[in-house]
Amino acid sequence: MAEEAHGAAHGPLDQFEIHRIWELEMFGIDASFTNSALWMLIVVAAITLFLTMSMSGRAMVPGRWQSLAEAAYGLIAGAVRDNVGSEGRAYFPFVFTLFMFVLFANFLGLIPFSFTVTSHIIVTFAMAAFIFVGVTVLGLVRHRFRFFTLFSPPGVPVYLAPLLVPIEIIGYLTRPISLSVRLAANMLAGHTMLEVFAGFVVAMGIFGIAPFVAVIAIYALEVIVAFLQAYVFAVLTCLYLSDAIHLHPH
Amino acid sequence: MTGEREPPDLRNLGDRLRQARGRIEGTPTDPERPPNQMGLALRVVTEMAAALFVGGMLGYGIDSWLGTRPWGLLALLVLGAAAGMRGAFREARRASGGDDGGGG
Repeated sequence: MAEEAHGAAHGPLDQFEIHRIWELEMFGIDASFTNSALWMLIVVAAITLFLTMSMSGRAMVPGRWQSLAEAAYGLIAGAVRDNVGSEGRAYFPFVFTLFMFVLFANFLGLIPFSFTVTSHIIVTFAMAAFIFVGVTVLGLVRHRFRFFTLFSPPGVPVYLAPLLVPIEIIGYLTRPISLSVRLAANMLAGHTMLEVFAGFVVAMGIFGIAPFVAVIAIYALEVIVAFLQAYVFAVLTCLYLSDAIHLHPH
Repeated sequence: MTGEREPPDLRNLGDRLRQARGRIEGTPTDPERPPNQMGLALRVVTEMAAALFVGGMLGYGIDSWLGTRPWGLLALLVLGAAAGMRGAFREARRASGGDDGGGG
């Protein structure tokens, strides 16, 4: 039965394929405008549209759209405040931008026949690497050499330091990878699962009702995951910021 | 207007301001609550795998830089595994609502 699903022109992994829409070669680098780039633009346009339209009324008593925008703002403002403290307010625009981009990319990816930008690890890794470098530079600028005390946990005997410091450094370098892999893997797994089950619906004929129900359930789960992963991404950014600002906060 | 009536108001305002500031700054860290056990499991697994990967890559890099194959890779793989355990432990502690464990 799965054979039929795979035999069709559309496999469960085809949705992640990158197509060149507009071929472009720049300085020997393939800088073509792809469907991935197109969907990133759509995401940015959708965010801009959502935030400007919903806040255009500036009503004292918010309507539905305005409350959505305010809820998103409040969620991230709260996350920044709880995890970084009042010094974190300067970084709220950064975290909010990241959150909205990931959130909209995840949500728009759930529309059938769309493309999920965040299912590609290079996209999430680019964001995570940017966060990592930015946070490290921020910590170095703020604390100079004291920043490196981040790698020696307090209350550790001196003779253990040669072992623990490398471990802490590896743990620090792990951050961008675990941050990006977590988001991309969640998106990839969810969307693949959806398509596999959707393939069963067609292949199983009348009994396809069972996988159909499963697809609905998985889709509902994916909506939650899409939101949650965006939030986790934002919260972890906050935690890294907090580490860079306070060195040993939590 | 008359300086007599203002001080209590101002003092009151100062107290209220301090209270508000305390609300903003004195909140405990509240990282993400675990949505479900599967989310936690996925987080822990990515943490461990990523640390192992970083350790391996660092070891490989050191080996090809200093020509100490295979010792750098071996040592840093072990360190990477340790870092992964530490990260996973920290993640689990954070998820279970305690402090993040190990004092940072």
